[in-house]
Amino acid sequence: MSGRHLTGDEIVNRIFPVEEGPAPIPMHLAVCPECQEKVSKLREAYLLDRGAVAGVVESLPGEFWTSQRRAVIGRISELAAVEAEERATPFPTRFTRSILNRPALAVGSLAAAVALVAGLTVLRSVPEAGPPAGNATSSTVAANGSAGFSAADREDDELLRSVDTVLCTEAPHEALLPEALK
Amino acid sequence: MVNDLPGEGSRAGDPGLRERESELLGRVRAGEPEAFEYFVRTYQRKVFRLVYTLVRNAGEADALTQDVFVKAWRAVPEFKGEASFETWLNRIAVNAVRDSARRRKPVVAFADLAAAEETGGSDLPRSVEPTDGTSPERDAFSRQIRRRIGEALEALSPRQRAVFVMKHYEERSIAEIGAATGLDDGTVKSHLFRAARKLRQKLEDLR
Repeated sequence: MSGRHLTGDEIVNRIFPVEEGPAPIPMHLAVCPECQEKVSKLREAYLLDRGAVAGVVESLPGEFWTSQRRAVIGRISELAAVEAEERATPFPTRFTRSILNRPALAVGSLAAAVALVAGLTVLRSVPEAGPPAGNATSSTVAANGSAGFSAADREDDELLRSVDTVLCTEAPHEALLPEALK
Repeated sequence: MVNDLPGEGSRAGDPGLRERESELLGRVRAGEPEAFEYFVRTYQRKVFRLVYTLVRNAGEADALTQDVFVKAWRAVPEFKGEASFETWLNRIAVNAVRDSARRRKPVVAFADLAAAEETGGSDLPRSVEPTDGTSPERDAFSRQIRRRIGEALEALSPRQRAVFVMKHYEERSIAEIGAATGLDDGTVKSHLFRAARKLRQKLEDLR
């Protein structure tokens, strides 16, 4: 006997070679009936299966292929007709039809739009935090207290308080009138 | 119907084939779906055979083959003609089988099919059951081996199965398999090696 028995991988590679072209035959295989039997069993199994698959395809009647072809061409023609119609239909009609053909999409879109409007409405109705600019009165300024305010803020407060006082005690246009006209 | 078209006899090696197909694809792109019939007629057997070998169910293979052609028709505008139409079609077929396997388990697993076959309930034509006619024992052994190979192929990943089937059942070259699967040669060989090894493990006791 020449050399060792073929390993499992070697047997598989005899039948299902990865590389293209003829593979060299191991010397051992030529002289070992046991390894020859293993290789031939696997080859037989493979060829039987391959033959069976080919046989199925070959034995299918002509009507099968005709019917398959008709089915494919039928589907394609339908799709082509739909596409041609879509191209020929003006946009608003196409859009309306598209929405009507997809009720789930229409309901979903409507729900999303309603949610968006409702959200915006709620956001607008919530009053903004803090007093609006220009309406600051001495009392609100005072109410804020001095906690967390810098020196510059305090000076601003002083100024605003003074302006407030002036506005409360005399009309602004009177301050601008010449003394003789008062 | 397109009567002025080449039929099933067309071969990929035909030098004028690409030109004729290119002209027909132009007609398809121009909005003449009937021109696509040539491609269905020419390649339907090859596509069906590849798909059938992968899914092992005639009904499923028929449905998938139809889907492949419809997908191909839709994708014709994107076909650049870098590979042959057949290679491109094979790629669509391999992807369709892979997607179908991902979406759901096969309608009928090969093991169930083989069991049905033994009780006469298979959808495969009985006339093609390969036997060497030597003895009932031998026929039973053949059936058993085929069922085991089918089970072993089913155990491979969709990509490994596609690569293996194209190489050993369709006799495609490594380059063709690479073009049809989008894999480079080294990866194709790696898949082939792994698939063969898995197959050997599954068929261990047959040897």
